[in-house]
Amino acid sequence: MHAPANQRVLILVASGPSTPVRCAAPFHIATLLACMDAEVTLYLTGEGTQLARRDVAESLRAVADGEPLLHFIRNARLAGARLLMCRQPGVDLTGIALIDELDEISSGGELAQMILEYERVLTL
Amino acid sequence: MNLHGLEFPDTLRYAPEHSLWLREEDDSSVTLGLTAYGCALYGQIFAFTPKRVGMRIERDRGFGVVEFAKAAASARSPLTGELLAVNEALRERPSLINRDCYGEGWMARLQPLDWPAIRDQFPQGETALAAIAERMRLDNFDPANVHVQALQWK
Repeated sequence: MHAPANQRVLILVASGPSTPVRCAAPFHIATLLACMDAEVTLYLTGEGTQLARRDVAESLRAVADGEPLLHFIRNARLAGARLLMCRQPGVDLTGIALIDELDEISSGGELAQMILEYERVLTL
Repeated sequence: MNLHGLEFPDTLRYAPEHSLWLREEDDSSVTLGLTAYGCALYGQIFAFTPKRVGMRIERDRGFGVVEFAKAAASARSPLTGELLAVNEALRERPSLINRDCYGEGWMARLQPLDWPAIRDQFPQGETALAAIAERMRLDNFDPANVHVQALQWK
């Protein structure tokens, strides 16, 4: 049930604003895994990259009266999860406010390397 | 003993930084549970998922995960030892922690590596109360607004 020390889990977050009901779960699962001593990396890819936009993270809710997504992202970060976002060729981020909780904007190559190296890879 | 309306039995030892109480058993094992202060910070607890019995738990590593309103946190052990038992009743009724944190809501029992050598690291009585009060001060604990703080606690 609990991860051996330093077990690494990569969570690919592909869900985005078109499916808000799916957007909180990856961060909550990351929180639980980090609490169980796993080394967790969340990687925003595809439509999931939209979740790193401050306006989206502050307003998107998985359930109507629930907490905004940023709440779940912060919990995951507090628990120790790392948050990366895919650098998408051709997408200009100039002038777009991103959340402070984002650790790094990363390349597809770095993602591929993590997929090969990590013990567990989930796509949510 | 009472602090801000929260009860702290003077028969127990405390780990203020972990918001846990400790009780030395006759067989030299130690039972752990969340203090009333920990309960106030978490709010309603929805689940407690312990590690497996038999595992060695290092000091400051988690012996389980507590899920509460809108968040989760690792229940970190204040001592190194083997996990001897977990409170199975909490799987079905995690609310026992809130309802009876010093009794039926106990969380885990550990066999410490060298309990006599570390026993005095965990204060009792007025010394414990002063340490818990200091912890509350460092946490900026406001008894009138506990649920907001639960989400800031880690």
